[in-house]
Amino acid sequence: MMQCTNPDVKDLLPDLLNGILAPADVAHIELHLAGCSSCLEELQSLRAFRSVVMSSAPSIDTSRVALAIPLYRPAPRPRSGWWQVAAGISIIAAGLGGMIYGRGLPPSSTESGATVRTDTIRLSKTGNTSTESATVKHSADTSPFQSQRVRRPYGVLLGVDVSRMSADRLERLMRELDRIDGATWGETPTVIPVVASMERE
Amino acid sequence: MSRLNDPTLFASPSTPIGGPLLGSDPSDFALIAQWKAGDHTAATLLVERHSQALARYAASLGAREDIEELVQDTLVRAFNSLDSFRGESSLRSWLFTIERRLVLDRRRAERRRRGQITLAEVTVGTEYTALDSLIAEETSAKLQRIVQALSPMQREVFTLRVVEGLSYKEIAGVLDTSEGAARVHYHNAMKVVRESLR
Repeated sequence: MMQCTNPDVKDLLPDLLNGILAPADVAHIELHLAGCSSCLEELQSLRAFRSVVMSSAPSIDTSRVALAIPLYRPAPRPRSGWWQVAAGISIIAAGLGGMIYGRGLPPSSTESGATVRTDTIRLSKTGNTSTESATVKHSADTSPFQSQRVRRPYGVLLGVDVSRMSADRLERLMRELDRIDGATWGETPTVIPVVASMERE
Repeated sequence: MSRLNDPTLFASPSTPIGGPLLGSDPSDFALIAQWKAGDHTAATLLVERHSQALARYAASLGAREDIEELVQDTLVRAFNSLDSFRGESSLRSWLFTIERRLVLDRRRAERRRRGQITLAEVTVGTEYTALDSLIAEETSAKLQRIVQALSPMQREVFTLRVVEGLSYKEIAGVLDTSEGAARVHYHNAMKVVRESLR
C-alpha cells in the first residue's frame, strides 16, 4: 500500500463518513481518494467500524424514554442584591409588626383551650357532662380574660406604621422594646391559672 | 468500476449532529424552543433523534446493563437543565457530556459501595460488550476485537470521532480535556487500528 502524502485528508475521513463536510471539502477529498489507496482503504475500514458499532448498539424504546421527559419549567432567576435587602426588611417588618400587634390580642386558642381543659378536669370528677359542655361554652365566649384585654392595633401603640420604617430604625425599636419588656412573645401568659380559678368560683 | 463509485462507500449519515441543517426537519434549537413553549412533541422528537447515539456512546463507555435507563436519566437531566445549555456546542455533544458524567458518578458510587475497585481498573477491564452477542461475521468479529484492544480513552474518542462525527473540539468538551489531547488519543487509536488490520 502506498503511503499517503496528505495526512490532513485522513483526519477528515470521519467527517466525510458522517456527512458533515462542506461540499467543496467533499469534492476535494473524493479527488484525493481517487489516487490514494491508503486513504481509500482507511475510509472503508472506518465505515466498517462505524457500521458495526451502529448496528450493535442496544435499541432504545424512545417512546418510553420520551414519557419520562418533564414539562418545561423556567429556571428561577437569581435574586439581585436589592431584592435580598427588600425581602429582609419585609421579613423584619412583618415579624416585628406581628409581635407588636400580638401584644394587644387575647390569648390564642391554645391558651383558651388550657382554661377549658382545667374546667373539664374539674367537672369530669363530678360526672356531670351537661355542666361540662356549658362551662366550655362559657369560657370560650365570655372569658374574663377576653374582656380585660382589648385588641390594640400596633399603629396606635407606636404612633407609626412599622412597615414604613427603615431597617435601622426597626432594629433600634426592637432593642428598645426588649429593654422595656424582656418577656418574649412565645412565653405563656401567666394569667391562665388565675382565669381558671375565677371560673371555678 | 472504481470503488469510488460504490454507493455504499460513503455511509449516509442518519442525522447530522446538530440536527438537520437543511430541509424540513426542525433543528435541535428550534425543537428546544418549541418544548419551552409547551409543545411536548418537540421533546419526543429530540429523544428520538439522540437516544440511539447516547446508547452507542454508553456502550463505548463500557456500560453493560440498563443502557436505556442511562439514556433516559441523561435526557431527563438534560431537559431539566436546558436553560443552562448555551448552544456553544451541539446539543448531542452536550448530551454526551452529561451522560459521561452520569456514568462516572455511578462508577464512583459503585466503587464507594464496594470499596475495593479503582475507576481505572473498572474502565480497563471493561469490554465492548455491546457488540458481544451481535457480531457473527468473521470480519465484524475481527473489528470487535480491534475495538476491544483499544484503551478505554482511545475507544471513547474513536467512537465519538468515527461513529458520532464529533470534532476534536467537541470531543475535548465532552471529555473535559484539551483539543490536542483528543487529537492524540484519536491518532493513537487509529495507529492500533491500522496495525491490527495488517
